[in-house]
Amino acid sequence: MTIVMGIETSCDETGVGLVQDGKLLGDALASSMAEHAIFGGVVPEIAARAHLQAIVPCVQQALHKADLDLRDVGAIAVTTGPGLASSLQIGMAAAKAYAVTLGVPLFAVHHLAGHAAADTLAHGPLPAQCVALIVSGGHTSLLTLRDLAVDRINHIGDTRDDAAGEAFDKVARILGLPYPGGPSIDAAAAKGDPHAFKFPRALTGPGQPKYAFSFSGLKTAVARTVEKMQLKGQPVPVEDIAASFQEAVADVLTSKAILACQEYGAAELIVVGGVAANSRVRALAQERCDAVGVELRVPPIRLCTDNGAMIAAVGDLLVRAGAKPASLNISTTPSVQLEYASLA
Amino acid sequence: MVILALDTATAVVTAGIVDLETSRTLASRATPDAHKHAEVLSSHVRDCLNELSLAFTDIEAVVVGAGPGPFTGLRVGMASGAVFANALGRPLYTACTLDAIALTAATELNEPFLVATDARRREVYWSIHSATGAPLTSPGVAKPSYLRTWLDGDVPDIGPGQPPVGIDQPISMSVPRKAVGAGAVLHADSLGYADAMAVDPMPLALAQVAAAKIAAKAPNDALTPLYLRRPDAVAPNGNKSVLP
Ligand SMILES: Nc1ncnc2c1ncn2[C@@H]1O[C@H](COP(=O)(O)OP(=O)(O)OP(=O)(O)O)[C@@H](O)[C@H]1O
Ligand SMILES: [Mg+2]
Repeated sequence: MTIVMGIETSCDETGVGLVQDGKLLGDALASSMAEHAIFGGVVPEIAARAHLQAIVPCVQQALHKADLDLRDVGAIAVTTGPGLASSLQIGMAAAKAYAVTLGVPLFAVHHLAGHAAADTLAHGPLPAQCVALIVSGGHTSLLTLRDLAVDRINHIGDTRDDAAGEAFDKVARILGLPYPGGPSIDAAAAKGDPHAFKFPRALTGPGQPKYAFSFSGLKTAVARTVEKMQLKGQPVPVEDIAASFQEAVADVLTSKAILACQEYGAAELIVVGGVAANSRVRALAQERCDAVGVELRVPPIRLCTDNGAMIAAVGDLLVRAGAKPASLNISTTPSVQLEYASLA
Repeated sequence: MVILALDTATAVVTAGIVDLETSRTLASRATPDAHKHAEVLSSHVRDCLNELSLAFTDIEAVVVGAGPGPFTGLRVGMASGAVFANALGRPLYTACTLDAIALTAATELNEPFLVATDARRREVYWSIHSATGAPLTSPGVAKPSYLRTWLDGDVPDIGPGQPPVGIDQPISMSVPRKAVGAGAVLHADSLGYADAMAVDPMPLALAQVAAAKIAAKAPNDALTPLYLRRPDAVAPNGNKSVLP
């Protein structure tokens, strides 16, 4: 079977993974996260400069871990979008040069399909049909998935404003917690009371859209709470606020996901993307899935955030489905919607 | 010596296969489109090899233009060059793009000259070269009018912002009477070179700039683009108020 090398450079992580027949053979990851920390968010030019330095070393490291040679690689898969334009171009340039030199096909992969496919590396093939909750730094979507390699992906609901991960990052900044916000809030929340503050659960009332999300009001509610306390000279209970905010996000995400499973008759729910690394999202999803008899699939934490293995996983599915490779002249698509896993 | 040479530091996406011993360009492809670097570069390489019925394994070294040039396009060439070298197990060398342009221009000019490429943001990347094309200055980036002021013997008052590269000290050589490069043509008026000549980086010239390193079988060059500008980024200063 073909060994697929996946390349991911859509944001601040340079990822390379090698996958064959649904199995992860080896991968490597470099991150420019530390260089962005003082700016409180990813600076595209800094990220792109780091990708250029990291791409070939990551390929070599992934091959080394898998005990493989470049000549063993039978196909290249690359994140084509969505993502930062200047960062995507590094991965694309590298992928094309590898594909043309090795004489192997190039597959153009949607980054979010990669997040979903990450779970197959841990838990095997996806069922014929399931509900997926993609919660990442830039996206929050409830989907029904059929065959990821060939079928159109159906959106049941998306966020109307901020993505869940973006809300974590912004709230962390409000609370003065270090970047990146998701893991810092997760850690602070572990020491706080999730019921100390009653933050709003947007779009959960009767008559409101069942599957759409909104997190910008929640972020503003946290900001108001903090600012009022600061004006009164009161100490800000960072841990309680973090726990209460995290609880509100986990509550909305999981309640809507369970509802979707029931309405769409899905026996399995997959939760993927960077926010799927959140301990409360994972625990509450498990609790609520157990209560209604839905099987929950969440990738191990290191496969939740961006990585090259997930892109290779999609490439592997595409190869096995006999999908059409991309043209060597394909362009990156920084703001493409999720419709199909392949962007060829 | 069969060399693969690439450059994406200007609006012209260039790839070519050259023979350094005979100083011949065996095949080359160029696309004049500043937004197509990542699209066309690898196809250009494949097309060159196909035209020559050569295999990738016939390539003995890879040379890539290291700029200076607009960042996103420049990196496409450097990333591709690094990958070609890695995938082929051949050495990778860099060449200053302005030096390559100068080498080509020197065949037509027999006096020192200015090379200027388009740096966007109404600026040019520039350097001054001898009649043989050898660099007499380091590469710089400047607004054409400031560069003119400097060429006229003054040190321009730039104000705050990014540091002016290379024009913060008075000029210490005779002022070139000729200018070449797409930036010199684009800004011919403000640079004061009405007869500026368009010269693009050519594969053979890129390989020739790196010829000594290739001949010496020098270790791989570091993958260091000549950015000359820092990333635009400002650290945030506190949260905005959300209270009415
Ligand atoms: N433990 C955690 N709890 C909550 N959020 C987390 C945790 N770990 C990571 N995140 C969040 O996940 C996001 C990063 O995830 P990911 O890498 O999937 O996003 P991205 O690639 O930047 O965006 P996208 O995939 O939408 O293009 C960040 O917003 C980060 O704060
Ligand atoms: Mg992501």
